[in-house]
Amino acid sequence: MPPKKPNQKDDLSDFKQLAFRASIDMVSAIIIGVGVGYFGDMYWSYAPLGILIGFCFGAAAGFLNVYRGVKKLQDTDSERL
Amino acid sequence: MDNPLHQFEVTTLIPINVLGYDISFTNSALFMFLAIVSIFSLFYLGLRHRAIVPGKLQSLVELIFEFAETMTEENIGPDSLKFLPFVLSLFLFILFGNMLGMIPYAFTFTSQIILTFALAAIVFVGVTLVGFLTHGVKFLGHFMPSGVPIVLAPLIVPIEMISYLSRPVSLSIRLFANMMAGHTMLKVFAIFTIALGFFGISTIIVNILLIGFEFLVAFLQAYVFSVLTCLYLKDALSTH
Repeated sequence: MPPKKPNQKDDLSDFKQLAFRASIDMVSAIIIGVGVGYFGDMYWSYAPLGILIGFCFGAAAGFLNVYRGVKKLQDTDSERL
Repeated sequence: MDNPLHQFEVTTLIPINVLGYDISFTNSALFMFLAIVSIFSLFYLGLRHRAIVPGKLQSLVELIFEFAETMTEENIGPDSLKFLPFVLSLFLFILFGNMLGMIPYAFTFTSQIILTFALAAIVFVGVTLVGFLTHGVKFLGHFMPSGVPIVLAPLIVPIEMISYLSRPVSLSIRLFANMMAGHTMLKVFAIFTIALGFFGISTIIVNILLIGFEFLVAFLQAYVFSVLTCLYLKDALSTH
């Protein structure tokens, strides 16, 4: 079987899917982090400390999500090669 | 001119009120019911004869089943058969919801975040239960990756926990956003067609392409939702 030519359009749509997935992974972690911080503030009146810490942890978790998603993709790509 | 978001309005068809709770039969419920009925009738009609040489419908049913079987096998591993019924029903429900939504004037129930979130919450609770049932309290060790110095625990554990809790949110937003964005775009281009008069032919061509793309998205999102469910299950089953 002749090797399949790399299709630029396919790559682009793959990239779009990846970008969409990564953005949702990032945003959802921040939503959870900020949500936990916000409700923590309501209970323990340390506002705005909770929301700030929550945002930082949420952003870190978001980066972790994105990193894991991309790494998984990279691993499957190298398996294919 | 019509509102592009009009198609997502939930309207009451049969008002039902039980103990002060509004549990009316809505258009959303109607299409969920239709999805279930069509899945059941497809499987009933397809598997009625159980021929050795399958007919058209039986081949279709077998194709769907084998597709889900390979998907779970590849993503979960040796224990996959236990979870096949759950993953297959989830996949079929979302797929039929998306596909029924492609019929003109139909309601797309997967474009409602409350429904996608409910599905994602079922997956989340189920996966957590599977994790605790297989590993017991050791399942909590997932939040502390091996090889991390204990000093970093106060940083790593909350980050891992937020990452774990964000799964149902990302799972539900992904499906809901894809379906809602696609259907809104179709409607917007349809409105352009009317507004442009004769030149509306150009937007009709765009809309035909978009409808093809929407069918792809409808299938792909059902697939992505079930594959992610499988991956989460694998995560819960594995010991690091």
